[in-house]
Order: sequence, then C-alpha cells, then structure tokens
Amino acid sequence: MKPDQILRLDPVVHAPIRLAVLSVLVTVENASFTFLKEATRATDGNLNTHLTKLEDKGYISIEKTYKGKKPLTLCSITAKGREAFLNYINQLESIVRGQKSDHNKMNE
Amino acid sequence: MENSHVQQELSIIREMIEKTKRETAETGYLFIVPGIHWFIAVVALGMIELNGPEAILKPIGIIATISLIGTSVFIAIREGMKEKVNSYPKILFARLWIACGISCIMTSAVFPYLGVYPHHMSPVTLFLVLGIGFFGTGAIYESRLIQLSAIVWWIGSLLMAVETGPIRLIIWMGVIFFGYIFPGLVLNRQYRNRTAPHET
Repeated sequence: MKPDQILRLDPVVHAPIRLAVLSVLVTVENASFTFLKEATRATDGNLNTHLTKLEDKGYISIEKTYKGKKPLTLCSITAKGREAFLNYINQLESIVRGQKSDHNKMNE
Repeated sequence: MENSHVQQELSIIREMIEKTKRETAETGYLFIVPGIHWFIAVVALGMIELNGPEAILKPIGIIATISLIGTSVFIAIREGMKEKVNSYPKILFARLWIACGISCIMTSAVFPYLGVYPHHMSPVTLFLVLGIGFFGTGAIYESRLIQLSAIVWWIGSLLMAVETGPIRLIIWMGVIFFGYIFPGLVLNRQYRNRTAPHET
C-alpha cells in the first residue's frame, strides 16, 4: 500500500473492528450488540468504544430498546456510513488494481 | 506485505458477510411444524367427513383452524425472540406471510361465512394465495425448489375447483406435503448447511 493511499483511507473505517462492524451492518437492517460482539470477537468495553466512535462520526445509529423484559441495543448503518464504507471498498479495489498493474509492468 | 494488508481487510469483510448470512438463514420450522399439524388435521377431518358423525365436523374444523393459527403465531414469535439480526430477506419474508396469512383467513373463513362462495370452494382461493406466498418465499431465499412448490398449490387449486368427491382429501394431503412441509424441509437443509461450518 503506497503512503498516499494509506493517507486517503478513512481512519474511522480503517480499524479492523470498526470495519467488521460496518461490514455486518451494510448487509442488514439492524444488528444487536450481542451479535456484533460474537461476530467481531471483541470484548464489551472494546466494542462499545468502537461503536461510540462510529456513532460520533455519524456512520451508525444506536437504539436502546427492550425485547420482552431484556434490554436490547440495536445498531444500524446510516446513509453517511454506507457511503463511507463503499468509498473504502472502492479505495481498496483501486489499491489492488494498482498493485496488479505494477506487478504486470515489473514482469514486462 | 502491502498486498497482505489489503487481503486481510478483504478477508474481514468476507468473514463478516458469511457470519451474517448464517445468522439470518431461515430455519423452516415455521412451515414444518404447522405443516405436520395441518396434515394431521386434514386427515382427521377427512375421516370424520367420510365415516364419522357430521355434527362434530364443524367444531373440530374450527378447533383445528384456531390451533393451526396458534401454532404458526407461537413459532413465529419464538423464532423472532431468538433473532439477533434483522435482515432485509427476513423482513420481506415476514411481511409477505402477514399479507398471505390475512388473505388466507379472508378466503377460507370470512368469504364463505359471508356467502360469497360455498365453503367447499374455499380451498380454490386459499391455495392460490399460498402459491403466491411460496413463490415469493422461493424468490427471497433464492430457492428454485421452493418456487416450484408454488406450482403444486396452483395445480391443487385447479383440481379443487373441478373435483368435489372424496379424492379432495388426497389432493389436500399431497398439496400440504409437497407444497408446505417440503419447502420447510428445503429451508431447514439450507439453514443446516449454512450453520454447519460455524459449529465446527
């Protein structure tokens, strides 16, 4: 990865747990805190910190509700978060494409 | 080194999408359990209609219908309570079957009661609605087998329109098995295939 390309990558999405959270949320309407914890294998505190960062940036919304008598935290991606995630994917794609063309040039 | 970093990021995305797919797979119990219930009820009602006292046919029919609706609602709530993720296919699936469920009650109970058509003709419209439900379910869960099971309902509807004798019982049984229990088994197999690597 070239230094200028790394600089262009969104630092909020770049962290592995935050990238994992957005990857889940981009495919669903919403996901519970429990599922995100299981999927990312993060601890409660760690996941909470990352979710707060994403929420502060406006990438996700967090709703605290109840399922029966049990408290339930539901997370969903916002339009801004979806756009940021798709931009991130596009940048990864362009990096891969760049690396492929560099590799081809070297072979020639 | 640079490439491995990108590959690592892409593998995180892939892994999360796979995990979400597994979590959102439909178990099929919503069709299997009520399907078996309905199958037994139809056989029992058919036997009573052929041999038993006619007076008990209507009360047993009402009890069977209410308990079938109760079983379906109970399983739907139980499955809903276990869900950790709300996916778009699950939302679509729930909305489709709420619409079909309301239409089924109207075509099989309300319209015959209002005298729109005789009670023995209610399976004709009921089966049409269920065919639409299963066709939509097959499209949502990308299963051609479930989509094809809709044809069983539509053929069943046609046969029910022309047949008025005791063969109706066999048509009912065949349609419930191949059109209701079978799609449930297909969904359950999809669910097991998706969750199997997760358990190991």
